[in-house]
Amino acid sequence: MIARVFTLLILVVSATAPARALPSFAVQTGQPCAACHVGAFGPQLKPYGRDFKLHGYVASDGQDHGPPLAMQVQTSFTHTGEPQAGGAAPGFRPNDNVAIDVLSLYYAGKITTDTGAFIELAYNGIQQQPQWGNIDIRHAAEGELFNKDLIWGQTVNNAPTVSDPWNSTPVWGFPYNRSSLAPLPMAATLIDGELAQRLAGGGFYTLWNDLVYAEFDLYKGLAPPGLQFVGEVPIDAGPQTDSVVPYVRLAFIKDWEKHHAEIGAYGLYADGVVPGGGQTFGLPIRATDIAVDGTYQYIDNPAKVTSDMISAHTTFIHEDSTVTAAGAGLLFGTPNHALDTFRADVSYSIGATITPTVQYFRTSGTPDPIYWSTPTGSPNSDGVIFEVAYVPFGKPDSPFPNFNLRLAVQYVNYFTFNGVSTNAGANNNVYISLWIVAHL
Amino acid sequence: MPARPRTVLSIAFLAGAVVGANAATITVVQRGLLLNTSSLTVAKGDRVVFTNEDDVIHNIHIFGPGDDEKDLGLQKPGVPLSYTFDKVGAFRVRCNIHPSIKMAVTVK
Repeated sequence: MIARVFTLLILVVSATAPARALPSFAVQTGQPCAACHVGAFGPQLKPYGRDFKLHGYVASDGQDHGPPLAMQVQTSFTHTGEPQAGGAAPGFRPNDNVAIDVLSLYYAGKITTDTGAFIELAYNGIQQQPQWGNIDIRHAAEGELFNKDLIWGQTVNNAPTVSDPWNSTPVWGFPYNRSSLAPLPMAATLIDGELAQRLAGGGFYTLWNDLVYAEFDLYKGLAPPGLQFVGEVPIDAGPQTDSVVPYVRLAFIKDWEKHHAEIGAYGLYADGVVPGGGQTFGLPIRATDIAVDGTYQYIDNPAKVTSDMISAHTTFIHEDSTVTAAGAGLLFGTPNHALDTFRADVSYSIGATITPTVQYFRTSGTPDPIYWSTPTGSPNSDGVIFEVAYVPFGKPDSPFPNFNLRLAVQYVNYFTFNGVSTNAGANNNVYISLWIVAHL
Repeated sequence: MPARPRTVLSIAFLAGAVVGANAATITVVQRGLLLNTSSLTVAKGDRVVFTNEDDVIHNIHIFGPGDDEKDLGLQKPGVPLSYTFDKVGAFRVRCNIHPSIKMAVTVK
């Protein structure tokens, strides 16, 4: 049981790919990081950042800057409420760990006039494993429909919601990085990062009249050799499927004066998924994830990219899953399990330099001691995350347009952890991280 | 009877002077990564001045009838750029860096 819990923990950790901000985009456009990103560092997007993504990462200042290559180093210190027996991860101490979380190389920018890409190749310093990161290659075009502006395009990517331009959906949502050496709740929905990098596919998206956004993608799960090739190891640490997984997204947006608002829905359907870590003893499940989300942003002075800014996001994900094998009801408490995840965060960016953020998160679902492998059989966890990020560069007057860094202090406080509220604080953690990004 | 070359040149010069004397200058403001208008109707020969009230560079491109395209170059904050519309037709204006900066110009 302990080995199974540990494996589940690893799969959750490995599924939480850190997000990035890239100077190659800044160099290509001649814009400082603060033009696209809240707090002058990715991945939280401002309206222009979303526009840049929707147009296929191709906007440029017309100058020749060479290939849009960038690199990232992310280092950290993690302290947990209590030491973790046996070490926080193979090769790490039970507590107070310093780590190089990830080293990444990116192709991020224009490929042709209408085609661009965000491609990450990473070395995971915790797992000591090279692997692919988030990938989104897209082609975009513009036109008119019913005399209103229309943007449409195609995307090829490797995670549901990685192509989404709002930070209220899972891949680019808060926290933008978190410790891989602190315990994480083991229950998560498939769309909430569980399938990220474990499938590949593509689809179409469109934005009409700056009002309605729609996207439809089809993914195919990677076979074990494919998972091995892209560094998603141990292969059975995460969910596997050979089925086609459809993903759909619809959002309505409104920009007025200093405000931006978005409300939307997204979801996926997956059949024949074998959860990682032996959660179902190799039996496949069928799952439907349906989610709603919202974003609100207020820019105090839209003419200044360093303007103070409020940014808020929320999402609610509901998953219904069924262990499809005959007799599953005898093995588990029930073959049908529901899981709900709610998150809401708000940040206030001061001068695009200091950005405090707070988030409440909660996951709850059908209790089942066999299925969830938690002490009480409950998958419930909730808590808050406090973070303060400091970004000295990435502004119009910054001396290093090819370089930026982000120093952040994050505190995660659990009220409930894997169904247990007593001593949930043992899993609380302080995470101090330093990201360094540079254009090559 | 065909006009003599000197007469033709004189008429053309006078016509140009008249157009120049009546040409208007219209200012369009770039602020908050937007233009202050989404469309404009001008007369042939009118000059449009594009200001940059943002704190980042812009790059105005003007697409005319056919394949005509004019790049006004990189525009630093606070520096105005101008373009004289000396052809009749439908034009599109947009910033190559910021797709949200766009408008239609009709020249009559």
